[in-house]
Amino acid sequence: MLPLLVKDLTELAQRRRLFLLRAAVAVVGALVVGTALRVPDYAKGDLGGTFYLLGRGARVLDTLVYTTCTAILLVVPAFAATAFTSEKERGSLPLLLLTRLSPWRLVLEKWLGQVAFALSLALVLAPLATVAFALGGIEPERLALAGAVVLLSAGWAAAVGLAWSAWSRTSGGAFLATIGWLGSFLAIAVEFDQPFYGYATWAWLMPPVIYSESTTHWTDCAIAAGAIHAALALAWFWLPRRVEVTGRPLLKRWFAWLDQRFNAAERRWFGRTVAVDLPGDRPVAWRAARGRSLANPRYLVRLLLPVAVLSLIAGLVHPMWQAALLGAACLLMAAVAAAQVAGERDGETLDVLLTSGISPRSLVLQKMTALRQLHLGLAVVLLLPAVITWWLGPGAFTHHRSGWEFWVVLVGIGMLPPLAAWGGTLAGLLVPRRGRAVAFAALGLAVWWLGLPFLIVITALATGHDNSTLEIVLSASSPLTIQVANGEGALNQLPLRDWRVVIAVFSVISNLAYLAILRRLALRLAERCLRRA
Amino acid sequence: MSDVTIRGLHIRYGKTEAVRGLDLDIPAGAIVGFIGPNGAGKTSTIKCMATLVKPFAGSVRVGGHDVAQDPAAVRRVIGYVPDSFGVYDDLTVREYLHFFAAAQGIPGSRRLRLVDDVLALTDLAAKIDAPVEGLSRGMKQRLSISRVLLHDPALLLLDEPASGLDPHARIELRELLKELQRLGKTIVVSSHILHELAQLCSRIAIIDHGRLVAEGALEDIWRTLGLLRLVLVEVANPGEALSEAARRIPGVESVEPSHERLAIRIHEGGVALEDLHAALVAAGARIRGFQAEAMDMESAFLALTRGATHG
Repeated sequence: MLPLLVKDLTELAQRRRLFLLRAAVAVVGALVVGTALRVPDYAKGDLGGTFYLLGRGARVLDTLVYTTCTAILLVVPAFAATAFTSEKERGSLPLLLLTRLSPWRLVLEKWLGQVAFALSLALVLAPLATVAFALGGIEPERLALAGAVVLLSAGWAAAVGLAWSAWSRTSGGAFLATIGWLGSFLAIAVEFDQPFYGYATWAWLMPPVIYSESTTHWTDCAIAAGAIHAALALAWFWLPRRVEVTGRPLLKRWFAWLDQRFNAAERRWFGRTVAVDLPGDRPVAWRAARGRSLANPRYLVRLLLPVAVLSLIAGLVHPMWQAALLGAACLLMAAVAAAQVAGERDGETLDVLLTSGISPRSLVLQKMTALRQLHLGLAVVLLLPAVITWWLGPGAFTHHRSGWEFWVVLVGIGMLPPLAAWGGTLAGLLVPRRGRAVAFAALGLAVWWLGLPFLIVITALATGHDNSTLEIVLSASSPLTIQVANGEGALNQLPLRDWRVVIAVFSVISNLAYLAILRRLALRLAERCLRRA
Repeated sequence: MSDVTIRGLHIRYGKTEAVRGLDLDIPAGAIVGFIGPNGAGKTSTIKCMATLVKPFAGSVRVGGHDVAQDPAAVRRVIGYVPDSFGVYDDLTVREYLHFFAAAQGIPGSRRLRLVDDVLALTDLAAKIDAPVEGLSRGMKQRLSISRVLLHDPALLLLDEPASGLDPHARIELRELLKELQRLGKTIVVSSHILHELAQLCSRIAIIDHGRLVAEGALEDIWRTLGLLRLVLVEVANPGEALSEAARRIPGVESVEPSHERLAIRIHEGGVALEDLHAALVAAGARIRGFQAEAMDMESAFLALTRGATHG
């Protein structure tokens, strides 16, 4: 008998939203596979016609595997990371540990539940595999690898999520840690996809990367399976030791430690200053930019110093890492914006504010004013590498740089963080709890900004070359995508070089339109969601 | 003249009807206790008066302004204190009050003096530079009341203000509210702890399942319901003869002897407490202690809500 597994599966089966989620995954999967089928493979001299589909099963299967793994890696961490923290939050974990279920059994049953859920996502896409079979061209070993990679992706996402869920105190913290670790694994697996010790690569850190390799690495699969065991062992180790987590979370303790160092440095270099700081006529903006808020210039400097160093290293090494840093900055803006709006409701201060005469519109606008300082600070440090490479000229570093990269970076840094902030504000207005609002904002951005570029990757994999101009333009992260693509020299292969200018101009215009729409929507929603009478 | 007039108020959250046809008048200068069990509709009604919940049907007028038509005008004449107090833990007391003074649009030149005045009134002047995070629950409650006094509203709406306070803080709150009444404020206080309001309010409104089941002065409700009051008498010479003599006193409903104590239930208005005391002495009782319990509000409440539930 597996009581916890039965309970979890029953709960999952009763959630109506999960049916919608599975339906959405099925629709997106069908669209992606359909795209892969429709686009002719010019690289292989395929110019269309009646029989051009024959023998294309392998490509359809590849697309299907990547789509399934992406769906699993995007969705499963959100559920796995809350598996134990939700028990901690409702106080039922100590009760579970007092039963005859051992910690190892608890971890195993929870893991099986998450893997079952992940495979249910894979199952909705499985019928598309028949299309691949019908078209032919699939080697048996490739098929086995596809199954293994999907299974490993499910097991890996569930195991990492459970390990952080066993460690963390809150669901929000566990989710962020899981996403952060999986993101880091992806970055390492992609960047260091080189054999080490002669027989394996770093691809085992992210199973879909194993599938992308030209040769099959069953050794990588075996190591990935071992890594899943290691993550489950960590969950088993942490679970009974972190049932009642007291004290501040690790991140806050780390920040407090840094804070002490900065305070000491400030006292040493600038002396102790006491300033009376009282609000002017915009009290909400005043409060949002003081205390331990990231909009507070004093704290902003503390954030920006490490970001500046990271930005310099990352930006000078490879544009992709600089783009990733910009993405992280956008996520930060969205999270802060969502947290500061939802926080008023969560902290039960919203009612008091609204009866004090501040309108919901003014409340949102004042909050956004405070965020501008954060945006400005981030923009300055993120622009540093672009300024340096622009100043030194093209060819100063190992990677190809074009002369217009600086302007693309400038557009990206100038427009994307405000866009993220307004998106985060929308999430804060729609979702009442702070943690959920932050997660909702992050998820929304990921779907919008990464979902469409994902189409680019899929079609690129399916067609063998980059002809994804339309997808680039559709995504709000176009400048970012262009920057990355240009770093690889991909856009230089476009039939018309002037298209780059068209894309850049179009992305600026479309992002301005997005900004105007989001701002208007947020202000209108503020009146509807915050004002009651 | 009524400070608040509620007519046929209905409040809905989706399919759930929290308030069903409430009619109520709150006179200026009164302290009105809003009593009801959890989920009765107290908070919804108070939030509606505070312009935070829109009436589904009916009207609520505060200080002559309709909450749905002119919420901005209503906000100028009310001060709302939620049960969570609505404080920012990351500010100091001074910063918190200056924040809300700015939010109320009070000119900067007036704020310093005003903040000092409200802190003096709520006895928090010594805590002016203390972080809000470090204040006790009772102090946070008084800070929240200081906040609503900044713009000098005529009507104070306090949702469960005594919830979670220790006895000392409750007494302080009671004294503060009486002081505010002396200053001419109309105060609406909600609670589900009945005797807590009995000591404070001049009028009581009992609400259950979104309907008003009784309203008026405490004594009036008491007489209407014909409820009994319990008097505990400690005597040096207990005995059956004394108990029998006590039963014969007009207005006494029952007497229960227990060791050296008599539990006497009397009809409100049937016999005055001083007359009961005199009659017992005349009957030969050597009285050591004489304690009239606060009105049996729980009984009143149960009697009223039972009627509403089954009616």
